Amino acid sequence: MNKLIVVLKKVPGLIWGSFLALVVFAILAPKFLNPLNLINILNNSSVLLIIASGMTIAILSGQLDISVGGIATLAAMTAGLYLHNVGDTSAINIILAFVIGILVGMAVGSLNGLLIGVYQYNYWLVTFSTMSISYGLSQVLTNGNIISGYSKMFRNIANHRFLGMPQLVWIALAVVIVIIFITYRTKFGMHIYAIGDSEQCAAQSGINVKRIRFSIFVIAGGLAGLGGVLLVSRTNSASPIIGFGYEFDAIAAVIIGGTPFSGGSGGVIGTIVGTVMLYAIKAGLQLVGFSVYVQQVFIGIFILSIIVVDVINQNRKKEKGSRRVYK
Amino acid sequence: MVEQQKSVLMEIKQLTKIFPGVRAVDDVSLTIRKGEVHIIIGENGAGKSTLVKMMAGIYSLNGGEMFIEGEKYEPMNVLQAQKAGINMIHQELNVMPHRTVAQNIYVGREPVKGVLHMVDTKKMNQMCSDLLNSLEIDIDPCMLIKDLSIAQQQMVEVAKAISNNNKLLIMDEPTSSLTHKEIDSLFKMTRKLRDDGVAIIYISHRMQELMEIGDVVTIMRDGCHVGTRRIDEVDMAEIIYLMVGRKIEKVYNRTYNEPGNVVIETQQLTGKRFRNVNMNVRKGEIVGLAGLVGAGRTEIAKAIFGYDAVDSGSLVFNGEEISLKSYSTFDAVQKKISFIPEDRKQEGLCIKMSINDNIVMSALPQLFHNSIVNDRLLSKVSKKGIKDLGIVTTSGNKKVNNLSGGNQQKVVIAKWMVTDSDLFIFDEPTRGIDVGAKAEIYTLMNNIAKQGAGILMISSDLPELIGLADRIYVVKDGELTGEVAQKDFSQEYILGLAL
Repeated sequence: MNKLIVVLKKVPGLIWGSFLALVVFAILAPKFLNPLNLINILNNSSVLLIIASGMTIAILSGQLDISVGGIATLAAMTAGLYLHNVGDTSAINIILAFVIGILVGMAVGSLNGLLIGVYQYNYWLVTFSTMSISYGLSQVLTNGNIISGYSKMFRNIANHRFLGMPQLVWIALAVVIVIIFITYRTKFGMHIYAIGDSEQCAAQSGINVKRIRFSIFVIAGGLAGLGGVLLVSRTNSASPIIGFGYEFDAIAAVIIGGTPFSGGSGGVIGTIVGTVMLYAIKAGLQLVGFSVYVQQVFIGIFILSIIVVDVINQNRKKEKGSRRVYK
Repeated sequence: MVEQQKSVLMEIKQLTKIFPGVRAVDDVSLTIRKGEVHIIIGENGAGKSTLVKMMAGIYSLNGGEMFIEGEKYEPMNVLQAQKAGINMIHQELNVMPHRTVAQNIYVGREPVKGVLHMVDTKKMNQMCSDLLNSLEIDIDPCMLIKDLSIAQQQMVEVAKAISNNNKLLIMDEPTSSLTHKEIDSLFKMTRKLRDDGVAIIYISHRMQELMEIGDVVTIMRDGCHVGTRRIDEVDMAEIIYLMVGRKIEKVYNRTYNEPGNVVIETQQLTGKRFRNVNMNVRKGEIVGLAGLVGAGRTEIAKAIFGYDAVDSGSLVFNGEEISLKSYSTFDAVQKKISFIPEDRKQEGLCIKMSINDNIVMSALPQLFHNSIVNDRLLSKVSKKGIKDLGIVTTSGNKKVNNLSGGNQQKVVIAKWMVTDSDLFIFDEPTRGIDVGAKAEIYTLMNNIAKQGAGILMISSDLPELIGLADRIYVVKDGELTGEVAQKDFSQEYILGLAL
């Protein structure tokens, strides 16, 4: 019980705020708690969750990968084009399409990793460039056209229901569990935290910082690739803007989940909450009756106000800390 | 007492390191023995840090050889040095604040279990608590580093080094940010390690420490090895003489002037860490602020400088009451108040910028009336500062980062000299600075007072306060416990008020 309280105290203010918002939605729009709506929220969150778990390890290491949206799009287009050309009724082709999508993601990711991790270029500039390259190539592949109309078999990968929930949700869950295991239970994971906390210290403790930074971007790229192909399966179309905006949604999800930009603390579990909250708030605003445009404004105001509360809270903690000196 | 020669751990022969323009270490040979604390002392820029950094695999050699237990030792990087049993603890802490003690100590060498190679946290914490117990350190392995005191963090670093098959532990000014009590426990641990047969190299600026902890002392000057002595066969004066290469006639060179008008006066000043502070500083006066670390001295100074918020009370500057509602450092500088902070690297300087840029930083609005910066005037002003303060550098375009501690402090002082301030606040002005440079800083402070500015000086070094100040205020737990006039100056009396 005490342990539970300790854990609860660690939950960042952003999550409490989100929780509060959910309660408000539940009261304003009774439909909000309808199981169908809740499943829909989870279904909507799934792809972002996969991409954001890659973003989480990048941010944990103290860096960012803003190419994930571009990578997801490029992977979606390559896989989509491949299936369109070789036929999407055979299981092997579908599996190959996923493999291709993930490989495309890992390829761009290793370019990021090589330049950032090994040659130590600035992560912002590198991933900004590869983002641009990926979006550009996606347009080039089909001349900017959308490929749509896929077989039921391929669409079912994401949309088929298993135990009442779309498979997409299960896939995302599986991915996240693997990432949780890697970050909390393996040496590699511990070294990601170590680098984010103090790169200098990590390097002097014998950690191969270059290799770990490289791997982080390869993993983030691979996950973005997987997310991209799943998006095609889910929406039944491969569009050259399919992953647009995912980079910043992913960053928002990670930060709402309590992983600070400075790295070294937080984790993927927070990101799960952050992602689901983000979509829950979107859905709630919709149910209450706001248009998509107003929704964006609200989400911005919402995140901002929670951040303000968080800062006030931290200042109060600091004050308490300084008062303690006097007994 | 039978003095046995302890066995040799490491021998270095004719080490040389050349940086562009300087021979930082020039033909230095040393013998390091097991179970001895070997102190390396010297003025700033004498090459102490460079020397040990070569031993720790951080710098490559330009000449010379090293041997460990008779075998040639050529570390290419820190890791190889650590494998050879040589660990270095830097002046700045090198820890991961958000990780636990155990995670910090075993980072990179975590024990694993099972097919999946999961990190065995339980075993790691057990290993960690065994290690800490063996060193008699009372810290829970599961604590986060950021929740520990600076001294405890340092001990974790020592523990980490020890756990690494340690033969030689190098400590670069480990006590510069510790309180007396913390220093004691660090020394206790150091002695224990020495008695266990570990060789220790200890770089320090503080003379008392060397007598307290050292077995052997090596003195360096201008990159050269000028002497090695056993501590029990040498006296303080000889060491100082060897270090400086000249006799320092008088450390505290103070000419007392008739104090002028009151520059600053605080009335019932109350802030977060201090209450009801009433004090004043007159022109031409050096006023000391004594007290223990954490008593609230820095906080009072920062409040006067507009950096920390004031809850109540008032501040009168040159007879004019300052409105505290929107008081900021910007206003303070406008009113000609200067603040030379304790932490040069973080607060006093923009470490990646040049000497020139740092010197004119606070005076920009004063120097350049239309917002365009005139390079010629800038370098003229800066050149004057470099010359007046005797900053040792080849060019004003050099980055401050590359200067020694004493020279960095002079740059901070130069920066405020340019603004022609009426009040200078010095917070621990000689922390981490060697004897020679200390005397220079004292002379500078004396000159500032002579020119008619007031000085408020915070220091934990009582002899220094007594040597320089006209009056001393003593702070305890955020309140003034006394004002001591010069005729009553004595260490016992002031400490009595502070404790």
